[in-house]
Parts: sequence; structure tokens; C-alpha cells
Amino acid sequence: MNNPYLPAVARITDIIEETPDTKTFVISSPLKFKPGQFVELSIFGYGEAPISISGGNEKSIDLTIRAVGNITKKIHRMNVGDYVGIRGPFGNGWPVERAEGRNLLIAAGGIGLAPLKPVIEYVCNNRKKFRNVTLLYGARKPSLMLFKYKLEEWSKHMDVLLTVDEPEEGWKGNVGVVTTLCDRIKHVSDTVTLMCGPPIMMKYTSISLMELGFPTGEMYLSLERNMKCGIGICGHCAVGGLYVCRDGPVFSLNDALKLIEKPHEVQGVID
Amino acid sequence: MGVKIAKNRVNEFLKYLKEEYILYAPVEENGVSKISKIEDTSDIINLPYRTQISLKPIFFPPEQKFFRFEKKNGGVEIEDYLPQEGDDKSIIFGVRGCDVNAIEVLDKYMLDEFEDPYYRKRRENAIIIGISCDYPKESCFCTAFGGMVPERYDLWFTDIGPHFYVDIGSKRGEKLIDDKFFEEASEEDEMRKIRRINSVETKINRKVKTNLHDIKKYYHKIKNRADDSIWEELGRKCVSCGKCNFICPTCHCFDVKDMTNIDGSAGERIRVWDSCHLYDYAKTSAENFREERKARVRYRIYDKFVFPVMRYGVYACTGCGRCSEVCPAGIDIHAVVRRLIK
Repeated sequence: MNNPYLPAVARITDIIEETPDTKTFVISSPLKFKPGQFVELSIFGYGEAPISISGGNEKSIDLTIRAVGNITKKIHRMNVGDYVGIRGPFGNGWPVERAEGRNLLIAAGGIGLAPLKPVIEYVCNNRKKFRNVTLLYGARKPSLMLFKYKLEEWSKHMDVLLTVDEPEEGWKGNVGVVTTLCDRIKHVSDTVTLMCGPPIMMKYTSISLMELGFPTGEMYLSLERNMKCGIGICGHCAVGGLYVCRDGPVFSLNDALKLIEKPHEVQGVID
Repeated sequence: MGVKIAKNRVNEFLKYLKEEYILYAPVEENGVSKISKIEDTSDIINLPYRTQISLKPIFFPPEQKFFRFEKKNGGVEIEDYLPQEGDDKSIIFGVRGCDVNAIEVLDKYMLDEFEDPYYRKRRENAIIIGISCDYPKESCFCTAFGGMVPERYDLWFTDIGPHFYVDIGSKRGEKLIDDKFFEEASEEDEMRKIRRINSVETKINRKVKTNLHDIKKYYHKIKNRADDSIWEELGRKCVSCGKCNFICPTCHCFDVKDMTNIDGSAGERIRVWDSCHLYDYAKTSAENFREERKARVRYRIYDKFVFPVMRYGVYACTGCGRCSEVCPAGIDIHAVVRRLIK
């Protein structure tokens, strides 16, 4: 009998320091995944945590992890060669195919850029499939921006709009929350929006985009919940009768708004 | 036509079953009635109603070990516990309708859309021999959901005087009918059975007066009370102890943890029961999505009467009343539902 609770043992093959509190771990796990899916990362002796996949190839997956909880703080103290466990991939992933032949807006806040990175990379490799593409990315400070070394390449393929809450020396870009960038997006109609960030960022970005006339039926949000099992049983990720681990983590804004137990991410979006 | 068994033959019948099956039946341990593995059939107690602890721990134990890990030779070795999980044939005797229905609900959660292999192994080879209640407990309200005889069982016993009338509900149940113990029941016996069940259900109904049979209608009614002031009121009353979750025969939430030896070089991954009433339950690295107690109270009630109806077409409450019995704040789920459907 197949045991879905059993992780596959894998090794950390590389560690990239992204920011003072975030690192990308390259894990020797040849998983086929869809952009937006997540894995359950095991640190043996510490437990499991759900982590979005931020990239990968035939041999490995990338997990971009901010040190905030027990598991994530522990992996930050681990080294190349150390062993971890992987279960997954889980979740529905981003509906990237819906954006093909149309405009695409990718809106990310903070660590929320990690699950969107595979989408951005897909766009870069398949640029002709999409019309206008914009990446909107906000971070607390310039030093906390993820994947800075990729931004130049990405900006060859799409409009990259960046903002920070607090500027630091040398920052010449926009200052303010993500919503302050919304009216700089050059394409409104026929745009598919993929969004991931802190609940408050997703809420206000949704409101701003709706006010600007972005089609709400084509706005998708990735919800963060504490999935313990990843397979729709443990109950921890349940929201309004849906399981974020199986029915999500990506929900259309319209569906999220219809939930009886309205997720914080969309509370007050239509009232 | 069903069969019947003389009451003084039941113990012999159970002994006979015990030769081939692992037998579970009602017992009392330290003043708590529950359904446990039987070594000696004289330990079985005769209760007129359900046990204090449900069947849930038999199929979904409070602690389930998933696997063992050991850091060895520069790597990690994993020993899967699933193959060791016994799939012995078991018979569970003396179960009440509320608990049989509750297991059917657990089956929806763990064997339907999503599958839990540990649950499957324990559940698959379990035969259920249920029994009608003689009279209800104070907190019972099974008749609100359709009565005390469940739709599915293997065998069903009902007291008809010197005999138990036995309904046969499945092929597996039929195979247990051995004429060493059973005799054919007459039409009169069957009438006695029906009268008996009716009279007990009438007794329950007299105090219950709630009828939730029309699932679609009542699920909508309850769903439409999402913003009601009742949640604020219950949130002030509830002490977030989680007892209702643990005692509930259909609550199945769990947490996953690692337990290690002193130097962390080896350990086991386990799941333990968890409770949606506890403060940390919906906490993530970003925020706590049910920080307010009223949100957690509403969640549990909705996860009994609304969400499972949306997903699986059933209530996840069977009217056993255990949560009302154990609640230190005196929250009575039956009273809550009555208010919600008014």
C-alpha cells in the first residue's frame, strides 16, 4: 500500500543566500511540478512544513525559505550535503494556461514571489505565448528583495515594477506599498492576474486592481495555510469547507469571495 | 425474515467469534465506558445506551506512528510502519447507531475523495454488530438525524424480551449466522422488534423535538446564519479546551510531530489528535486565521452541519451528544442547532 505520509529522502545540493532572512535551498528531488504547487519539507527530528516550489529542473527543486518557524529556522542552520525529506508536490498550482494569448499580471509581495518564480521563468522561456506581461513586486526594504540577480533578465521579457515600503541607501525606485504601482500597469482588459503575498497585500491589491477595471473573474490568489498532511485529511488548511492543500492553494478571487468563511485575504474586498 | 438469538447464548456466540476475530465490545475502565479489545468475554458490560468513548480511537487512534527514522552512515534511514499496521479481522460488538453513523462519516473523510492508508487498514476488515438502545442518555438526540438504527451495519441486535432480534445487513454479517446460536425469527418477533425501536425512539423524540432530516433545507438555514450574533455569544462562553473535538466520533483533525531520542539521531514521526478550537490551530507564518474564539466556535459547528454537507452530502454530527456532555462551559450542541434552524 502506498503511504502518502512517507517522505522521500533528499539532499541539499546548494544554498543561495537571498536576503538576511531568506535562502534558497536546492534539493536533490526530481519532482515534476506545476508552478504554484508546494511540498511538505521534512527536517528529521523537527517535523514538516509546507513550502512552495520556487524553481527546479529534472534533477532538483528549489525551495526559497524565510526563517520564521521551527522547521524554517532549522533548515537555515543546515548545510550542503545535509538530508531532508520531501513529500509532494501538492496543490492545484497557477492556471498559467488561462493567460496564454492574453495579458498577464504577476503581483507579488515579500516571500510571495517564490511560488510565482516558476511562472515568471515559464513566461521568459515561452514569451510568445503571452501578450503584455507585467511583474509587480513589493518588498519591505530593498535589501529584502528576492531574486535580485534575476530581475535584469526578467525585465527583458516583461515590465518589472518594483517598490519598497522603506527605502535604503542607493534605492532610486518607488517607495510605497504594491498598490501604489497598480496604475502604472499598461494593460488592464483581458488580463489574467496571479497574486501571492501577505494577506493584507493581496486584499488591497485586489481592491486596487478591481477599481482599475481588471477582470475579477481572472484574478487568482495563492492562500497560505498551515497544511500538515497535504492530502486533505488533517483539517488545518480548511477554509469555508475547502481544503487549501487540495482545492487550492490557488483560488480565483470570485471563488474566494463566495466562501462562507471568507478568507482574510479577501475580507472587505466587496462590501 | 431475520433471525434471533437467545440472550443466554450471546456470550457463547461472542466466544465463538473470538476464536477467529479480534473482538471489541463495551467495557468499563476506571469508571469510563468505552469499546475495547476483549480478552475475556465476562469483561463486557451491558449498557442501555452508548459508551462514553466512541469507536473513533479503534480506527483513528489518538496517536498514530507513521515511520521511524535514523541518521545512519551519513544518511537517513526510514522504516515505514504502515506494513506492520495490523489488518487482522475484527468484530466490534455492541455499537450504537450514532457511532455506526459516525464511522460512516469518518469513512467519507478518510476513504472517499482522500485516502488515509492507516485508517483503511484498520477499517477495512472490521465487522460491525450494532445494538438498539434501551433508553437514551440525557444528551442524546439521534432521532434528529433519522433514528437509532443506522442504514448500514453487518448485524443489528434489538432486545425483544428473552431474545435479541437480529437484522442481517451484509454478506459478511450473514456469514456469522450459525444455527448453533441463531434460530429463525417469527413474524411476531419482527413486530416486537419494530415496536421496541419505535418506543425507544419515541422516548428520545419526546425531549428532542428537532428534525434535521431534510439536509438541504437545514444546511441552508444554518449556512445563512454565518454572521449571526450567536457566534459572539458562544465565543464568550467557550473556553477553547478542545474536549468536544476529542470526544467527537467524527472529528478527525490531527497534527504531525517528530519525537526523537535524546541526541536527535533517531526518532518517529507521529500524528496526534488536534482541535480546531485551540488558539494555534489555524496559525501560519503570516497570521492566525481564526484568532477570535467566535470564529473557531462557528468553524466547528459549520464543520458538523455545513461544510461536510457541501463536500460529502452528510452531516458530520450523529446526535450522540458527547460534546454537550463533556463541555465545561455547558455549550449544548443540540440547543445551538435548535436555535440556528429556528
